[in-house]
Amino acid sequence: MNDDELKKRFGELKRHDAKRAPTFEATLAAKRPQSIGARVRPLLAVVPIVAAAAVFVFWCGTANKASAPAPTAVARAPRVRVQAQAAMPTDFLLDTAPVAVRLDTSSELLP
Amino acid sequence: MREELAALHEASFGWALACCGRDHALAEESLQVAYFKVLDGRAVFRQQSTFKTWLFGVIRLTALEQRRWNVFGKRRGDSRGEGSGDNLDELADTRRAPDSEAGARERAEQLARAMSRLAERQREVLHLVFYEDLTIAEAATVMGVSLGTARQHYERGKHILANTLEKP
Repeated sequence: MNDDELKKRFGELKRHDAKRAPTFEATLAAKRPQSIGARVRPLLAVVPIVAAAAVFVFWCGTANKASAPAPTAVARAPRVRVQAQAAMPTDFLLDTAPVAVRLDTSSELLP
Repeated sequence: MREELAALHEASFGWALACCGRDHALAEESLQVAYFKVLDGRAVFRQQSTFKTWLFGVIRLTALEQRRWNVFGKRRGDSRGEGSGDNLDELADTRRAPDSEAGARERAEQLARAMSRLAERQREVLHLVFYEDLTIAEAATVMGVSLGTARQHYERGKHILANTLEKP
């Protein structure tokens, strides 16, 4: 297929397209599509608000840290170690009943 | 400016169709956006080439933006729907048309199908040269590539297209 034949084929396609083409006025008058800028613009409007909120939250965090009370004497006191505690008279309360007794008691409840 | 756009409208629509993979609705939308870019002064003609070459460059970039948006965005479904409607109308028209006209239409469709199988650059340069009667140098300007690159795409694309069309 040479250039002339290709040219002829393209000519047919061009005439075919020309029949389906809208007029210039119709193209301009059609419902105007939103440009890409207009589509993205609402998102851009939200960005400063989100940024301001982020700065506010960060600032609040920093301010809270700065105004936090100094550690009190109680907080700074050394922890009491378990080994340092002496035996107390109420220690018996920590003792549990022997397992056998509990088993006996529970068997009475069985039919 | 408006008169110049109107004078080139038919050619511009053909080029927009080629840039949008022959999607009628998308081509119309891209062309409208490109026209408004020109009329609003967002695209400025600096007389570094012919008006037609410059306008085709604007249409090409606008169509590219619209296609990207449609891949990314939500309007894809709408335009596909309209496009399929057009194809059905077209088939109905073919049935009503006289034989000679139907034959020409069939050959046009065959060419469009063969073109769709080419690489994008090859398709663009062949369309600009054979359909729009531009020189390869002008086509290179529209496509934003060097003359050598455009010539390479032109030769390869023409070879592939001729082979495809010659197949029964």
